Amino acid sequence: MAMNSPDPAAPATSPGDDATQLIPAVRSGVPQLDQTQFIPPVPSAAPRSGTADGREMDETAVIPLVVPASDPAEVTQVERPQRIRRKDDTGFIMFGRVRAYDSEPGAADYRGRHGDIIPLAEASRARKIFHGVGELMITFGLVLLLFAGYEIWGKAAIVEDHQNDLDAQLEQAWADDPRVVNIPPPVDPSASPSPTPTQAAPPPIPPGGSLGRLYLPRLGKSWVVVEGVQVQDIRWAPGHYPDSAQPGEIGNFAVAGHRSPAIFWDLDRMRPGDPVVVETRTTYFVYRVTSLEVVAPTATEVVAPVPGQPGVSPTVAMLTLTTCNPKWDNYQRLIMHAQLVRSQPRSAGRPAEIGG
Amino acid sequence: MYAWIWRKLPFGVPGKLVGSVLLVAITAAILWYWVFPAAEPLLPFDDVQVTDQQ
Repeated sequence: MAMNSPDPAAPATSPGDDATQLIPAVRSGVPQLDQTQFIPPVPSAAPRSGTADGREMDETAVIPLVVPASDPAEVTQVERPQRIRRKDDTGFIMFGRVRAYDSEPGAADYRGRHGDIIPLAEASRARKIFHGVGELMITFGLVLLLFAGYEIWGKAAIVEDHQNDLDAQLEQAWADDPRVVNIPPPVDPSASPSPTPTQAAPPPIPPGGSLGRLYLPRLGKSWVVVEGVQVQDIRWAPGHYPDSAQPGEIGNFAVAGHRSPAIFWDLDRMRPGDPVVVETRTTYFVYRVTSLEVVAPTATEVVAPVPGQPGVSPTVAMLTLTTCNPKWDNYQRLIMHAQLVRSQPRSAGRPAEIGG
Repeated sequence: MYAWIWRKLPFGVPGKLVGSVLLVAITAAILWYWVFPAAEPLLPFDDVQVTDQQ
């Protein structure tokens, strides 16, 4: 803040008056205005233009010190120890000490409507803390929003990627060797393990191995079904309850899947009578939905060979899908039962239900 | 925090805007591709729902 050459706007000041040069905004036309402000007992003093910016008139009351009116330099240099709390018409609250300062909006050194307040250290510290906490909370909210987007779109894309891999590998395995009934799970899709076909009549499918395909024509969706319902098995595909029947078998072919947009999201839209198709290496099995129900997570009877009647030996081939309910939560299970109505060999083409 | 970042970003307002967009994109990508996939199995919405046979 070096002294500039004399301000052309203030040529009227006497040359020896350094102090007024520090306050270029003190207009030469109203030299006495500053001083009257600090004399509270004169309530009807010259109308303060400062009130127009929202300051309260009575705030000057906390500044009882009357500065010597004769010396304008004194006005600028006295720092008043009084603390004030000022609230303007926008609700903004300012704590601090007042310094003599009263330039007008538009003046060269105008420092804002609270330019005459030196903030208290503790007030500005508290403000920094509030500010920081507020920013953190906003940031956390944005991260949560992004996570919600990831749960819906990000995971759907990942699951579809994995499903495409599983599908291609299943197709390849079935085409390569008609006796192949499954392929090992792709542990890491980027590693793309070569299928090591398991041969023989009905070999046990290892956990995570692909079993076949499941079609829900009403939802326009199909998935590769894997063996097993452990978390790692069903991460990217519906999984077959290992102890339940095989597709088309008398008993209950039970499959669990996530209630995620890429898997059983819309399972509640299925209606009794809707077709459900299961494709294995040799056969298409066509089921028709018989019922949907919402049960407790412990209702294991829904996957019994005769759904709802554990211990009873089955006489018909059923299919049961289980997923979580409601969406985004897991305190219930949504269950869909279907009954086998017919089957046709794969060589006979796709059944009409899935556009064969 | 944000004000501090804004002050530190170089090259005037255009540079600050470009820098801000870059920072946001990098942060979102790290969250989307690394943090969320790692955190997601720890959360209950989707991964423990198929426990019918417990």
